[in-house]
Amino acid sequence: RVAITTDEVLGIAHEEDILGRVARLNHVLDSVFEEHESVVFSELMGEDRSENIMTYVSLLFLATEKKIWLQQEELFGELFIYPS
Amino acid sequence: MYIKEIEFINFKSFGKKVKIPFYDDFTTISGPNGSGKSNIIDGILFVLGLSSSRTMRAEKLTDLIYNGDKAKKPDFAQVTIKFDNTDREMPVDTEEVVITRKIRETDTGYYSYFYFNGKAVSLTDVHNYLAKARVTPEGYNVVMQGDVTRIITMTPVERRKIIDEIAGVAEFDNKKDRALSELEIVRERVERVDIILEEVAAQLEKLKGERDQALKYQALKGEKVQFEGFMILARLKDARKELVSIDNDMGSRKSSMKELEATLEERRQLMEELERSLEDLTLQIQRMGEDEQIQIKKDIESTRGEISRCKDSIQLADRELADVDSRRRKAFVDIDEIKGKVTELDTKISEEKVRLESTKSEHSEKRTQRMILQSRIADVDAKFAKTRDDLTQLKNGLESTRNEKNELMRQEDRLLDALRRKSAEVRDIESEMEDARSKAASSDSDISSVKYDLDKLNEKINSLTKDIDDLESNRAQLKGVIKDLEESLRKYQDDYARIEARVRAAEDHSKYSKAVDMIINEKKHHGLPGIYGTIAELGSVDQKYATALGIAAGGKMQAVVVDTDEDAARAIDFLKRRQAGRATFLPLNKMEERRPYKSLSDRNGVIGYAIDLVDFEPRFEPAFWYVFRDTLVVDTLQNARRLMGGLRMVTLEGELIEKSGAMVGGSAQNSGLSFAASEKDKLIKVAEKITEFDSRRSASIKKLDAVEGHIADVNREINEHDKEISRKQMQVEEIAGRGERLAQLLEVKNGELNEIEESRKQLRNEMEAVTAQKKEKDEYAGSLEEKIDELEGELAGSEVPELNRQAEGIDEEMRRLEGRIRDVEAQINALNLDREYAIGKIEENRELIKSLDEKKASHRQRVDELTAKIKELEIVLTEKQARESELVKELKDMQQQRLGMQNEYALSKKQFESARTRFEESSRQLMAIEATQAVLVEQVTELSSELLRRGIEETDDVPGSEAVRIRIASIEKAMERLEPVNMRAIDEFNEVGARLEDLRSRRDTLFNEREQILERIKQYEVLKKDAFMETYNGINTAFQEIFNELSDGIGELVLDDPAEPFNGGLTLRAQPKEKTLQRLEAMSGGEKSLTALSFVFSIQKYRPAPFYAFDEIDMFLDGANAARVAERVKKSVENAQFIVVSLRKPMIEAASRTIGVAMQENNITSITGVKFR
Repeated sequence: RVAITTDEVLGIAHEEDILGRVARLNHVLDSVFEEHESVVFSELMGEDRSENIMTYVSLLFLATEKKIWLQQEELFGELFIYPS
Repeated sequence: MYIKEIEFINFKSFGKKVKIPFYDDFTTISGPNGSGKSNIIDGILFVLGLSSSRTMRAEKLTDLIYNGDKAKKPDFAQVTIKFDNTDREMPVDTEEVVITRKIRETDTGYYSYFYFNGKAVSLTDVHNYLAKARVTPEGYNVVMQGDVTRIITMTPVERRKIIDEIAGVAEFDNKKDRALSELEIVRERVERVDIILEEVAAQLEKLKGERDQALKYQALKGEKVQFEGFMILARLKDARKELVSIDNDMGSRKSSMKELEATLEERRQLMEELERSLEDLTLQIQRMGEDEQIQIKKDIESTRGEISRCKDSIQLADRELADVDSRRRKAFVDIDEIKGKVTELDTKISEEKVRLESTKSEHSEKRTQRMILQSRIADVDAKFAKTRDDLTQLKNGLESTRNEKNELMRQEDRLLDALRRKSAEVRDIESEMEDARSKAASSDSDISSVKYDLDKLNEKINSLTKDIDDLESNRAQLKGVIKDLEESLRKYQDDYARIEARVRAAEDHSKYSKAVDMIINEKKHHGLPGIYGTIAELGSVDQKYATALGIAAGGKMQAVVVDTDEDAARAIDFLKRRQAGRATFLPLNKMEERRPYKSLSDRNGVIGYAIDLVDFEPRFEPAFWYVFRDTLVVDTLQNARRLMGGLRMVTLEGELIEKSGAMVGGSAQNSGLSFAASEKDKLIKVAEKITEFDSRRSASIKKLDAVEGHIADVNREINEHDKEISRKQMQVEEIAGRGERLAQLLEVKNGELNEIEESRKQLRNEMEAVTAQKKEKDEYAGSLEEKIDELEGELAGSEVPELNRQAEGIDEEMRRLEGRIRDVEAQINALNLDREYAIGKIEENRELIKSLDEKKASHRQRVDELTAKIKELEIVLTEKQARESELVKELKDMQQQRLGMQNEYALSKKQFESARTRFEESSRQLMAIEATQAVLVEQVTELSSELLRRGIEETDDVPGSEAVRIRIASIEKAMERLEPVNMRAIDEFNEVGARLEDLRSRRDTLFNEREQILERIKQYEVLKKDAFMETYNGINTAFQEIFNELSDGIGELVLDDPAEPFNGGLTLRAQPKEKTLQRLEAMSGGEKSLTALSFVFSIQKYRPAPFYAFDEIDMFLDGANAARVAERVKKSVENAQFIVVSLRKPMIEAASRTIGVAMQENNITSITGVKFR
């Protein structure tokens, strides 16, 4: 494997900042779950397509970190988000 | 065609059954690292078997099975891809194509299965199906992270090979390889043909010499045929000439024959005339009385015969008369004799009658006396009558008592005897019973001993039978041998007799000249050294050639073969000194050697050269060569005549034809000399053989006798043994039945004993009774005797006894006289019978005399008759004799005349005969000439046809015969010098030449073939290069375009050796925007990725496939470049389905939908999906 240089990684992080997004989203969801049992993905979506995509990716990260539980009845259908 | 759905079961991190739907557009798969994004791509690689050139992320296939939960690890993994095939890109007539791969782990290893639309198939089948839908490993359908970097790091040649594969170069290489192996085969064939060519050329070279020689020989032969034809022509001309002369000869002979015939006719007429007049005369003579004369002579003879017959009858009658007389006399004498006897008998009868009378009177006298006495006795008797009666009574009583006693005694004796007998019987029976008991006791041991004997005997017979078999076969063999020997012996004896006869004949007739005889004689006494013998002695011949060879040798038969010329000189001197004549000697040391002559055995009738038909020791060959030279033996004269001219020939019958044409022949005239040498040797050998075979035969016969004797002995022995066996068997049976029989016997005997005992008791009782009776009788007899004594005392004083005595005497006397009377009466009777017989006899004799007298009278009468007849006959005889003498006189003259005529006739006949002989001689000669003519005509025809065959015209100029002969001789010599000639060489040369040509053309064909193959190879090279270049150019163009699009720079694919691309590799040359042209190694990671991706995209563009799966190819790209790559993919989606694993925002943004991958449970990938508007 070609070694990944520090610059490259920093470059990507800087531009896309996944981890930051994940942390922020986690914070948002924590407050939502104080009032609600669950939330659906469509409620989290805004107007910006690109932002929505990043939100979805962040949800995937959070699910893998076992902070939330994602549930979908049907692929590409409504996505339910529960606290883990 | 596109992927509609992927289903994972136990595959890697997909712990459960997971189905992921896909659409015909651009889908990204996103999620955190380690959540199992790439496992989806791995699944595609796995199920399609596209991992051959690039490694899947698993060390072993079994590691692909889900391994999350240690407790219950499944034993299989399965991935299924469903393709939508509504566009029928995959040439299978279904809306949907389902490919499944399953691996199963077992204790013994793992198994991998592929299914295509539910059917089990192999990996190759899957590849084939996919290839039809343009999905191939080299087509970069599935691009992994490593693939991108590997394109950079691989060698240029490896990179070029990617193009090779896409261009399908391998196909041309395969074709080329096949062509090369064809070329190798052709090369080998050429090599082989070259070797054969060399060989055949050498053969041809060798044959050329032989052929030239053969051609020369053939030419010579042709010439020879021609020259021989000339000789034949000469012979033909000779034959024609001879024919003409024979025709002339025949003419003259025929005319002389006619004359002779006339003479013959004349003479015959004369003769016949004479014959006729002779016949007339004879007839006349016969008429004139010869017949009568003969009749009279016959009459005289018959008369004389009759007279003598009459005389004989008279004599016979006389003799009978004498006989009758003597018999008559004898009858008279007999009568006298008998009469005497009668008288005598009469006297005797009267005497006897007297005696009878006297005796009778004496008898009556005695009777009177008796009667007187009787009366006296009666008187006395009356006195003592009572007493005497009593006495008589007593006496009678005594007598009867005594008789009774005697009877009792006899009875006693009988009883005693019976008792004794019974006792003996009892003893016998007892001993018999004893015997039987002991026998019964011993029967078992008896049987076993007899059986043992039987076994022994059977064994003996078996061995004897075997002996007989052997002997019989020996006998048969001996008989065969004897038969053979006898046959051989007989054959040899026959041979001996035959050969002996021949040898004796040869010896008897061998008449050497005096000189040769002396030489041979001297040689026998060892007087002259070095002499081997005559030709006749030294050669031996087959009997059928003897005559021919004897004639062929002629006088040279008695030529003497000697060792050296010195020996010859010595012998000649010997002859000279003794003045014994001349002889020919053949010294072996100086004689000319045999010369070879050509074979003429193919000619009709030729048997062979004489010298070849004689057997002799090889060292004598020069001598025999001198004798026979080239004399030919021919079967018949006719055949010899055909061959005439230049040949010395002898026929089997002994005709000799010289080279000059001289012919010798005629009837056989034994020269007295013939070959005998071998016959004598043979005789000795045959004699030896006879002795040998004779002794062998007698030895064999002796042996046969011995064998037959043995056979008889053995047969006798077997016979004896057989008898013994049947005896023993009977014994066995007897012994077996013995127990029962003995028991019966004992029972019977016991019964008998009881009976005897009973009868003995009875007898004893009887005996006692008899003894008592006897005693009684004794007592009674005693009392009677006393009474008798008393009465006799009373009677003692009476004269009655005296008177009784007298009466008895007279009675006696009377009886005597009565006998006497009977005797005399019988005597008288006998005498009377004698007398009657004698008188009868007299009567018989008288009858006889009477008949004899009659007979005498008839004889006398017959004699008288015969005498009268004789007288008559004598008169007739005298008459006849007179007539006879008369006739004789009459005929004498005529007979004389006839004699004269007969002589004349004989003379005439002789003349006729001589004329006829002459005529016949002439006609025979004529016939011989005609035969000759026929032969000549035949010869002419034959010769003509022979000439025709040789192609010679009769009109051709013929060289002189001597020239011809010389030429033939020189041709023959030339031919001989050439020999041996292989005439086959001509044909063989042609054959081999043709073969050489054939081989050359074959070699040319092969060469052409080779050229063609080479041409084809070259073509393949060209085609291969074309295909490569086309692909290369297409991909290069796309690369330049795509590289520019992705990096704004300039890039291209550069061949190391554009002229010969396969000799070198392929280099990626790239110059990103605002940078100088760089070597790949010097590029940054992002630049490298861009360059490599450009190469991958250019391949996709040049050869598009229905779907693509990329695994984080944008990992190392900066934001801008990632966006460009994403844009590039988005552009391509129009032509194909894209499934791209990526975490990068531009890529996710570019896709139509996103599949999210997370690992919410331990080690289990969970899937969610979002479609962004």
